Amino acid sequence: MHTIAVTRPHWQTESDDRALAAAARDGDRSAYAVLMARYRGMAFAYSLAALGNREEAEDAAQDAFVQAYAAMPRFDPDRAEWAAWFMRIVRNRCRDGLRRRSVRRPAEMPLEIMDEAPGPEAVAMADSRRRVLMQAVAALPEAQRVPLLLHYAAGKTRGEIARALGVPESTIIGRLAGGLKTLRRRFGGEGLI
Amino acid sequence: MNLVCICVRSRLAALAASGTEMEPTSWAARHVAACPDCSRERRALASLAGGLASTRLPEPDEQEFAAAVWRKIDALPAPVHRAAWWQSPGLLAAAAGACALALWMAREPAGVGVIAPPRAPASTTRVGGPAGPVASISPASRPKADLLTTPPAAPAPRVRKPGVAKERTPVIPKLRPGLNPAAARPRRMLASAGSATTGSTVAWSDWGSYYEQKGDYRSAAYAYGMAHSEKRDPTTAFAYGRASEASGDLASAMDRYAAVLEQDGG
Repeated sequence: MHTIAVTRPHWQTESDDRALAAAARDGDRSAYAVLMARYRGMAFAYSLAALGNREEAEDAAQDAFVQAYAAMPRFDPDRAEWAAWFMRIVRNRCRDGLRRRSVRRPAEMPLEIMDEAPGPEAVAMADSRRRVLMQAVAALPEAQRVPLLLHYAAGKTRGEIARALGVPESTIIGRLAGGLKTLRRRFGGEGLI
Repeated sequence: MNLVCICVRSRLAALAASGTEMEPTSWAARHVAACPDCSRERRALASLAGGLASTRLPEPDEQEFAAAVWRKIDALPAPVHRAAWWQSPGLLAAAAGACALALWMAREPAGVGVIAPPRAPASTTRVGGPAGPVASISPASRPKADLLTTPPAAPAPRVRKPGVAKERTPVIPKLRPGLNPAAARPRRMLASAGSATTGSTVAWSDWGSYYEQKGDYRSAAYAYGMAHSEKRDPTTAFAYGRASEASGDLASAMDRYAAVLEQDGG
């Protein structure tokens, strides 16, 4: 049985992930709670960027944690990285959600990512322009939309996004650049300024 | 916009995405500083990134989120330990039975593997007709037009013995167009015909009786004639005359009846 101190200050490393996952696999719920606290933001941000709906994103992220917990006995921390394994579950849950939606509601859903309390930069930007920008982002293909939102709106680093999506960091940079160019063509002229 | 502008603008988005800045002394940075279009492009990309960064993705409440997850986890059905199928006595017995059945069905049955050839009958079977000696069909006496239209079925395998001359397979031409006696030939006749290829004999009188029963009196008269030519006896001669009379050949019938009367001393 692994003993993990939940209040440990430095647990943002891979080795801690491995130890936490091993402890959670052995039935330590507090270790799994730490993993949940660590990856809740990324799972929800990815789900929201992929699904574009807050309720569905929350459900998908929660279901991913439940599914991962149920599958923990089959997870081998020595052979796989927990973050990559868990984010694969999140991606599959989102894919299932999109598939169900394509059957249930074929119409494109608006991306609901506007925060209730915008930051100081957002105040400077006219609200209507922000709305136009978000609509343009929602129209982007998923491969460009998800990295753009995770990087700029969720504040994730390129390395974190690369790990979450299971692709190299250079791929994330390329997708970010592609998304920016697409938005630039969309607005033209002086853009948002 | 010239070629340098195109080259520089292709880098601007990648630089904005990677979060790096141009080297101030690089040719691209000098061009951006000098070119108003590229400078405007750079500002537009920067404002776009700033606009994106001004948005914030909402985050779920930590306590509610964790509570919901644990609720769902606790609602999961308890994992049921299912015994492996080989640990179930019934399934194990069924699997063993299936294996035994497969092995039994796959085994080679005793005695099967070499199909023994059919044995030729030791003696010729007479099929109806008048009693009398049986004439054998030898290659020399074989008629040019045989009564069979098909070769005998299932010929017995030949075993060549030293000193025995090779036996020729008889060529059996068709007697008449449209005649197919094989379709209704009696089984005993077939056995006898099969034995003809191995040296056994079939009496011409038997063929005559057969065709007479079939109503083919012309073939019957021919067969009786062949039998009569091989061995002249009153019975065959009478049958020859009867078949000829039935077939309409009254002249031949009268000749045969006359011959019978001569042999009887009448």
